[in-house]
Amino acid sequence: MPRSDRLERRADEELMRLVADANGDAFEIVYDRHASAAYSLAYRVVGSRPAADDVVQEAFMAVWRSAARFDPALGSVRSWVLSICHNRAIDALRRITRHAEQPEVETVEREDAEEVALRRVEAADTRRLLADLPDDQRRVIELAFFSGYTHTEIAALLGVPLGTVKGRMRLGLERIRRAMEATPR
Amino acid sequence: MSGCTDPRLGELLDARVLGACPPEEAHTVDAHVLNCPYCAGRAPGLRGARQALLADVPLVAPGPELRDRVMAQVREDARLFGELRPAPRVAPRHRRRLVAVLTATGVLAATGAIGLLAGTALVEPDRPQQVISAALTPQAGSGARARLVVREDIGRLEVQGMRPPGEGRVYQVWLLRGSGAPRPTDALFGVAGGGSAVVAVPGDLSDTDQVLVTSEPTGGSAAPTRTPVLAVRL
Repeated sequence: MPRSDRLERRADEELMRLVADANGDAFEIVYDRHASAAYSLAYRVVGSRPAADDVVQEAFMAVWRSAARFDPALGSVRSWVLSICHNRAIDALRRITRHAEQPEVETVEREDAEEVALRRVEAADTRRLLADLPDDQRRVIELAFFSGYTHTEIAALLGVPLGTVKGRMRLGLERIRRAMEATPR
Repeated sequence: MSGCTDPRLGELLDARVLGACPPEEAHTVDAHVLNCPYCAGRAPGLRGARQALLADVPLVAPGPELRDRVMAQVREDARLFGELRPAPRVAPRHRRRLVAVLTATGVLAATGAIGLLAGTALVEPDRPQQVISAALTPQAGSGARARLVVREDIGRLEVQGMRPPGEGRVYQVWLLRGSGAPRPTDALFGVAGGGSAVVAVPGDLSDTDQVLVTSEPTGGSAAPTRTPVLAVRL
């Protein structure tokens, strides 16, 4: 799909207006700019390349079909694409989890379920923004954001009160917010 | 949580940002943010933290075959819906659906979209979302505007400039299907300063044709006692 060099120089928001007008060349540039970030996020959540491939394909098709809904007032194109990808990845992870919850594996103990969930979380390299959080705050944020558990499920998984989970989420996000304000990225 | 108008919902804000609320609860929290200055003030910082988390992952490059798959599907998509040519673009804030007209009260004015969400959205909306303008009677107020936001069959009614329901009265939301009688909901609301309110519409809207609002005695009614002041056709 040949594309104009002039398109390459356009800002994301301008390209999205073209994508909303069904401009495939503009979409191709948007894909090339954001596919790696989207794929990295998808892989972080679903943990396998085949599943990440499906998630990213589904996410970018959503970008293509709903480009007119992109609103620059709510954030950048990158954050919009990543948010779409994150939602699709969590949906995929929950489908995978539901499929795995066959009768023959329902005897998994709660502690084992927690270990499995945390092993998936800890297997990835979390030496980034989350690394500076206390373990308890990082754990609930990762279980929620990268493993798709609800706050109630996290409380049950960890065996702590729901209020404790909500408090850890609040404190963890507050630390991340302050770290973002303190460090230009 | 001092300053929050409903701490029970305010304490769910962080879970909402992390995607850890079930859909209906998420919807309720979103509606709360629009009505609570304290939580609305927290929203931009939380959104920033969420966006940081989205990017805070190890880099894993996709394979070239994925690009080929995506582009092939886009080309096929474009072929099915016409060749790759400029199509009329509808700006998100002005997208409309057909508006119901209440014949019982005459011709009503359709209202435009309301930008209540600008700057306070917690999560970038990406799910298919319908924004439907409401039709209002003069009883709602000459400057009244309203819209229904529907995502995944869950609705949120947003009003501005609406007249208060009256002494000892509340607005009540009803669901109408076909020629059946309006079904009462427990969504009862007044209006805040500027005649504004954001109300989560209970229940699944997939089997609903219209959402109506009437003024009822405090506590609500089992059947409408007055003609609707607001109607939205789905």
